[in-house]
This record gives sequence, structure tokens and C-alpha cells, in this order.
Amino acid sequence: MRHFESFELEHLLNRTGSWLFRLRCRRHLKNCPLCMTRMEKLLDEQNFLTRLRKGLRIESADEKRQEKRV
Amino acid sequence: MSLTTNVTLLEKIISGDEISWETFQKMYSPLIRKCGSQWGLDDDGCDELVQEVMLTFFSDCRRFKYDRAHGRFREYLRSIARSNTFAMLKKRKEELLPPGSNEPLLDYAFDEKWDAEWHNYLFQEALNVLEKDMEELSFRSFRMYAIEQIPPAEVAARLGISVNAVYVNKSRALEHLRQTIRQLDSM
Repeated sequence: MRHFESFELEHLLNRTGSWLFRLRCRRHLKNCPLCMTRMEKLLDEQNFLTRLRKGLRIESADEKRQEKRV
Repeated sequence: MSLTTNVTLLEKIISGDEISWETFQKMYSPLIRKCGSQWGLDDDGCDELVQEVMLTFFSDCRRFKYDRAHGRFREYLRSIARSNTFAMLKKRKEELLPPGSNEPLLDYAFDEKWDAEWHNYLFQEALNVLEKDMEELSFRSFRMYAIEQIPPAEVAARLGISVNAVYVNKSRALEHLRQTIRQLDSM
């Protein structure tokens, strides 16, 4: 069974990479604890980055979009 | 990694190393200044606060023997900053202190703000170390994608690298940042 590296799983989070590749990732994740752990680590990295940007006082992309609407 | 452990820095300061002392002042002055301004001190007040804290630390540091079992260095520095900040506020204007001031509550409020600013300082320092240690293109890729949140495909196109490389750079950078933060916060 071919596992996916973290950088490959990140295509799922960002919807990059081909549609077929992302489908293979999603199907594989349903049955693979190892890759699921890697995915959880990616989500943890996202949380860390949110705290990092907050700590550096950098506006998030969402906040910028909300400001534009207002 | 080019980071000098802070424990080594403290030992050098205690032994009288002037360059280490300057490094120490450069590292911690912005943090002290930030806390001062949060408590209503103006620029001159913050300058004075930094001087007072550094003087207190300098006069104590020969006696100071760093022992992790007795608490972290940042808590020690925090207690010096707190006592000097409140001493200055009392000396200057009573109204700078919140109405119905309750000392334990003030201490708690000061400590909370200090700890929040400490974490912000850690992030900034860790990023500075990362920039020095990481290859320039990789750092730019990380900065654009993870900090400025530019879409990965756009980062890849601008820098002439693959999207996979953008993701790999990000993971490596985050691991480096976490290690640096653990080191900086370990005192």
C-alpha cells in the first residue's frame, strides 16, 4: 500500500494537485492510520501558523477579505 | 543552528562579558518597553522602565544563580519588570493605576500581559533565527505561503519552484521554528 507524504496530503487541504490525485488521497485516508496521523499533524501545523501570524500581528487572509467587504 | 542558548548568555553576563550584556539588552528591551506601554507609560517612561529593569537585573545578576528548578528565567525577569512598572506608576500618577486597584489582581493582569508578549517575542525571535539559518529561496517560499498566505500555486510560479517544494519548505521551516521556540522558552 502506497502511503502519502505530508506535502502530498497538503494538496488536499489546499485543493491543489490534480482532482484524481486528491481523490486517491481521500480514499486512502479513510483506511490508513499512518496517513491520517500525518494529516492531523498538518492540521496542527495550520493551528500553529495561525498563532504565529497572530503573534507577529499579521492579518489573516480571512480578516482582509472581511475588511474589503465592509 | 546559530542560536546561542540563553543559559550560556546568562553565564557570560554573570562573568562580566560586555557583548553578552549588550545582546541581552537588545533581546529583552522591546519586551519590557511593550509591557510598559500597555500599562500607560509614554516613550520616556518606557525608556526609564527599561533602564530600571536592566539596573535591577545587573545588580542582582552576580548573586543570581540560574536554577531551573526554582522557576524559569522569564518569570524572574517578569517579576523585576512588574515591580519596577508598578513602582513607576505609583511614583508618577496614581490615576495611571486602574480604579479600586487590588494588588494581587494587578499582579495577575501584569503577568498575563507579559506572558502574551513573551510568546509574541518568541515567535519573532524564532523567525529571525530561521531567516538566518534557512536558504534564502526556501525562506521566501515559507514566508509567502505560510505567513503572507499567498496561494501555493502563485508562490511556486513566482519563485520558479514546484508546489510540492513550497509545502516541503513550509514543513521544514515549522519544525525549525518549533525547535527554536522550545530552546528559547526552555530557560
